Amino acid sequence: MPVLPEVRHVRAFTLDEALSLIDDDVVPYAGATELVPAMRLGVRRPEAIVDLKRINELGGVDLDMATNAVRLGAAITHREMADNSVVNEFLPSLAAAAAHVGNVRVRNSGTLGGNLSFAEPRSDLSVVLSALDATVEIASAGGQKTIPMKDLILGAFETCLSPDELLIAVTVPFEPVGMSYWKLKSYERPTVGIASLPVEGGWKIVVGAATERPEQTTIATNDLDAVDAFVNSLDISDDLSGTPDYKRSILRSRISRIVALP
Amino acid sequence: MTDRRSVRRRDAFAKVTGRALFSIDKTMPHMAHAAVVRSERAHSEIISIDFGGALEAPGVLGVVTGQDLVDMAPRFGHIIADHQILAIDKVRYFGEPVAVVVAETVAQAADAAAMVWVDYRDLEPFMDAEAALRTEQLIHNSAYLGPKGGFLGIEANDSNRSNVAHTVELNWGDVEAAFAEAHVIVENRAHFPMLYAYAMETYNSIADYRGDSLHVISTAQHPVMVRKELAEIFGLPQSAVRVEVPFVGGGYGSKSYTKLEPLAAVASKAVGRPVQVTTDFEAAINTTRVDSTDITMRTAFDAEGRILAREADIIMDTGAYADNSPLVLEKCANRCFGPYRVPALRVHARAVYTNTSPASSYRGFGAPQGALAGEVNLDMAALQLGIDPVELRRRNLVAPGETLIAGKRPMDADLLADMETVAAALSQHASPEVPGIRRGRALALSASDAGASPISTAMVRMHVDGSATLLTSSTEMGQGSNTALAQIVARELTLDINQVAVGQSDTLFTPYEWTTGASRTTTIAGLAIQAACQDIWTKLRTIHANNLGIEVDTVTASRGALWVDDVPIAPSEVISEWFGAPAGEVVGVGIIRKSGSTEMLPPFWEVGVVGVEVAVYEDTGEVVIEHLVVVGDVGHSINPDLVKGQDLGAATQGLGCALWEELIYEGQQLTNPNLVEYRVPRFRDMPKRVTSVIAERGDGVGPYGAKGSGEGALNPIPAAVTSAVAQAVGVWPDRLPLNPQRVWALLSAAADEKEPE
Amino acid sequence: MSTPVNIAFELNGRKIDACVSARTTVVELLRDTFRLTGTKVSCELQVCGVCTVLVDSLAVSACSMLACDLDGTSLTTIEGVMQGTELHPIQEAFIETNAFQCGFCTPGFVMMTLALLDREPNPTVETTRDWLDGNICRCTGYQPIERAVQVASRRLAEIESDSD
Repeated sequence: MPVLPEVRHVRAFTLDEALSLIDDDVVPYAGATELVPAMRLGVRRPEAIVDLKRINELGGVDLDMATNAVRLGAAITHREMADNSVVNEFLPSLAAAAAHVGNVRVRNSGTLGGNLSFAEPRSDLSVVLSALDATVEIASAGGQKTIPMKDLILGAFETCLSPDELLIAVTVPFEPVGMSYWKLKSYERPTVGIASLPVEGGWKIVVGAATERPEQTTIATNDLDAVDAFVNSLDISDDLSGTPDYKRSILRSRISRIVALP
Repeated sequence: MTDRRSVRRRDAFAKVTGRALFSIDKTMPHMAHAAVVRSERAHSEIISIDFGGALEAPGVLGVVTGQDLVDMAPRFGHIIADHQILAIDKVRYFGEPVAVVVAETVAQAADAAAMVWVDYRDLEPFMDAEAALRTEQLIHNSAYLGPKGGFLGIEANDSNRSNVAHTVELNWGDVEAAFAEAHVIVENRAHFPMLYAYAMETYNSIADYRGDSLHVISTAQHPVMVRKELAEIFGLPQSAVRVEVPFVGGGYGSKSYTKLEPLAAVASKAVGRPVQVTTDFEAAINTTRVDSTDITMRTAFDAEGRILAREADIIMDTGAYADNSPLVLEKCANRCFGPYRVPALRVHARAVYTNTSPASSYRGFGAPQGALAGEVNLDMAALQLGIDPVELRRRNLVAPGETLIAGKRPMDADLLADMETVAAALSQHASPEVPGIRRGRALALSASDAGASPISTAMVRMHVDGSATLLTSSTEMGQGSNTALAQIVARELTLDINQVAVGQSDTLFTPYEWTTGASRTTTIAGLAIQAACQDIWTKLRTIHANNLGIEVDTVTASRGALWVDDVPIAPSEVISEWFGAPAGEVVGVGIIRKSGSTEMLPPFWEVGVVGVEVAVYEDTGEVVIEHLVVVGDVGHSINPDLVKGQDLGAATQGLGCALWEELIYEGQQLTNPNLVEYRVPRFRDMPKRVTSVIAERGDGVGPYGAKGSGEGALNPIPAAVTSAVAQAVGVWPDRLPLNPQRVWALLSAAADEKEPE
Repeated sequence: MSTPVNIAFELNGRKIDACVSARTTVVELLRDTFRLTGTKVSCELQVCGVCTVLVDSLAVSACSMLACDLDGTSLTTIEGVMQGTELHPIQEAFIETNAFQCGFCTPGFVMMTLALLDREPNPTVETTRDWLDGNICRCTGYQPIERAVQVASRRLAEIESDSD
C-alpha cells in the first residue's frame, strides 16, 4: 500500500492521559519507527495513535548509586543511549549495542520502549538487557508493576503487555566486569546475538536474534557438553539469513570459545 | 594526476542539489493518481471483479479492468506480444495488475483500491521452469502468440504447444566426434538465481491520452521503442505519440522497452485526464525481474588443454511474460562458451514461461549467466588437467582479428593482454595467512556481442555565436551520456565543453536512437554525433564558399575555423554573413545504420576481464572481497572517470549477484520482496582493494577508436567469485548467491568429505 | 477520517504553519505539498536512505516519520544545503570525486554526510562506514562516496581554519 491508512491522532501530555487512552485500537508511539512500516504494510490498522513524545515522565536517565542501577525512561532513543555518559560508564555493553541498532536514522528516531514493545526477534537490546537482569516498569490506568526483563518478551512480536499497558522505564543494574555482547550481522537484521557475563564457576549466556525471544542459561567453565545441550535445545529460526544448522554451528563455536575462558 | 578528459559531469549541479528531475518528480496539469489492484494468485482465471464501493468512494474518477481494453491492442511486447496491459481472463503471476483505480489523490486511489475484490478460479501454478516444461497445461494461449514480424531477426514461436517461449540452437562443427576423441571431459551445472535490478527510482509513468495523441513521461531507457509500442497499441501515428524521459534513477537494462506506460495510458483514456502510475518496491519487483538460468556445460579438452568442443544446455526462466528474454536467451547462447577457440559447439537454449514475475534484461544480458557456467567449467578443467587456469585460458583465447562466431565481427580486443594485466595485479598482493580464514583467487573473462543495433541519429545545432546544442534520444541514467556525448561535440567542433548544451530523450524534439543499453551509446550515438558535426563543417564550408562566391573545394575546416588559403574565419561570422544578421543556425544531422564501419555486427565486442581474491571466514561462511581487479578495455576513453565509474558500479552489481542477491519464491509468492530481505551490496561490502585499469588500444569503430563500456565488468564477476570461493573451500559451488549460509554448507560438505570412514 | 493536525515548524530556515493529515508522512508533505522533490522515496523501510532529512540536526527517514511530528522542529532538506548561491563544500566534494551516477541516492548521501561532519568533523574510516552503511547506492560501488566524505572533511577544516 503506497500510503498509510486513515488514522486518528492524539497527543498526550501526561502519562495518565496516555494510559486513559490506549487500548486495542488506540496505539501509543514515540519514534514511529516500528509503527509506520507496520501501518503501511497493513499489519497494524489502529483506529487512533497516541503521541507520547511530550510526556516528561517517559524521559530521563537516572543514576541510582544506592541500588547500583540506571533507570532509563522508555522514550530514550538508541542514539541517546549510545551517547549518554552514564550509560557508557555503567552499562557499556548496552551503549555499544544501542550504537549498532539498525542504522543512524533508526537510532535517531527509535526508542527503547518502542523497541522492546515491538519485540522484533532479530534485535540486540532485549538480549543485552536480559543478560543484565534488567527490570521493566509497566503502567496502566489501574496501576504500575515491575517485571524482570526475561518475562517481558513471550515470542516473536509478542510481549506480555496488554493493549492498555505501557512500558514506561527499564532499570538496569550496573554491568559486571567481563560482560560482552557479540552479534553476526550479514543482513539488515542480526542473524545471531550472544551476550555473556561471568558468574560463579562459569558464564551466563543469553542468545537472541536466531530465537523468537532471548534465551538464557548458565554454563560451567569449559563444559562443552553443556554448550551443545543448550544450543540443541534452542528453537532456531529458519530464514533467509540461514538454516538452524548454520546458526547452531555459529552459536556452538562462539559460546564454546567464551566458556573456555576462566 | 587527473586525466584532462575526465571533465566535470554536466548533471553534477542538478544531482547534488536535488534539483535533477526524474520521472517520479514530474507532474502534468490536472493530473490524477492511480492505484493498481494486483493479483494475489500465481495462476488463476478471473471469474469476476467486484468494485465494492470503489466507484463511489471519495475522489474516485474511474476503475479500469481488462474488459475496458477495447479499441486498442490489449497486449504488447516488442518480441512476443504476450503481455496483457491488464489481466483479461486470467492472471499469470502473483502481483499482476488486475485493475486500476484512478482518483484525485494517491490516498483516495489507494483507499478505493482496497475495496476491489477479485474472485478467482485457481489453476495449477508452475513456479519453476522444470514444472512448466513437464506439464501439458499452457500458461499462454497460442491464439495470440505468433510471429510479430521479427525483432532483430528473432521470430516468435509460431505454435505454442508448450510453455517454451523461445528456443535457440547454436551449432557448428562435429561435437560428437570431438567428445569421442577428448582427453578430458568436464561437466558442470550452474544455477543463476532470480534477481531484482533494484533501480532506486522504481517504475513510474504519467500518461495523457487525448484520443488523437498521447503524451507520456516515464522512467524508460528507450523512448523511441516505447513510442513505437504505444503507437501500435492505440493505432496512432508515431508522430502523435510523445515519450519524454527525464533523468532516469537507475536503469541497468531493467527499464528497457515498455513497462507501465500502456497501463497509465489506458487509465488516462478511461478518465480523460493525465494519470500517474507508480510502484513501491514490491510492485516494482512484480513489474520486471532478472532472468534466472540453469545451465549444464560440457567441454572436451585435448591433452594440452585446448578446447575441442563445448556443449551447453540452457534453461531460462522468463516468468509470466517474455518481454526481452528471447533476446537475452540469444545472447546467453552466444556468450556461454566464452571468448575462446571452440572448433565444435552445440548450444540448446530454451526460455520457459513460469507463473512468476516477468523476467527481462539486466546488465550483462545473458553473459553473467553464461560465464558462470563456462568460466567455472574452465577452472574445473584446469584443476583436472593440472594446468594453471591462466595458462589454460592463454592456450584457448581468441586473438584480435580471430573469429569467435562465424558471420560476426572478428574479435577486436586484445584479451590476452587484458588477462595478463589482471593476473599480474592479482598476484602482486599476497594476503597474510590467518587461522580461521581461507583464501582463494581467480580470474574470469567474457566477451559480449554488444552494441545492439547500430541505428542512431544525432542532431547538432550550431548557434549564431558558434556554441552548439546536441539533440539525442539516448537517455541519461547515470552512465554519464549527458557528459560524454557533449565531450564528443566539443572535440569535433573545437568548442569548450561549456559551449555545448545537450537535449535528451524527448521524442518530440530528439531524433531517433534505437536504445540506450547494450553498452552502445559512446560507440553508436558517438558515431552519429561525429557524423552530425562533420555535416556542420560541410555545411559551413558550403555556406562560406557561397558567401564569398568561390568553389567549396577551396574552403577547409580545421581547428574550429573555416580556412581559405591561410585565412581563418570563425563559424559565427560565417553564419551571420549568410543570414544577413547575427541570427539563424546551422543544423548538422548524423545518421548511423548497418553500413560502412558499422556494417559488421556486433559493432564491437564488449569484453570483461576481472579478477578477485576472496577471504572466507570458516565459522560464519562470510566472504569478503580482499581484492577486485577490473580492466575496462574500451579502445578509447572519452572520459576515464566515467568509464571507471561504470566498471566499479558494474563489478559491484556483479558481486551482489555472486554473494547476496536472490529472489525467493515460496508457494505462489515471493518471500522477500522488500529491501530488508533482498540484500544488495552495501557500503561495508566494498572490496578492501580495487585495481581499476583502462586499456586504450584504439581498436574500436567508435569515436577515436572507442568501444562500449558498462557491462563488461559485471559479466565475469559471478564466475570469478565462484572459482575463488571453490579454491578457498575445496568444493565447487553450483549455484549463487554464495551467501554465508551457503558457503558454510559448502565448508561443512568439504569437511565431511575429508572425514575418515 | 484522519485527524487534521496543526503544525508549526521551520523548513530550511523558513517558518511554516500547516495543517496536515495524521496519515501523511514527512516525505509526502515535502514532495506533494511543498513540491520539494529532492527528497526521494524508494524502499519505505528506512534501509535505502534516499528520504534522509535532518530534523533538529538529526538524520531521520522522512518516509517513516509522521508529518504531524514536525511540530516544533527544525527541518532541513537537500534544498536547504546550498549556501546562498554557492554549493556547500560537501556538494562540491561529491562532484569532485564523481560520487554519484544516476543521482537518485545523492540527496540522501549528502544529508547523511552533513549530519556526520556536523557531529564528527574528522571522522575515522570506521565511523564514516558506520554512518553511510545505512544508505544504498546501486550505481557507484561506494568508493567515490567515501572519498567525497574525506575531501569534504578536509575542505571544511580548511574553511574553519581560514576563518580563525
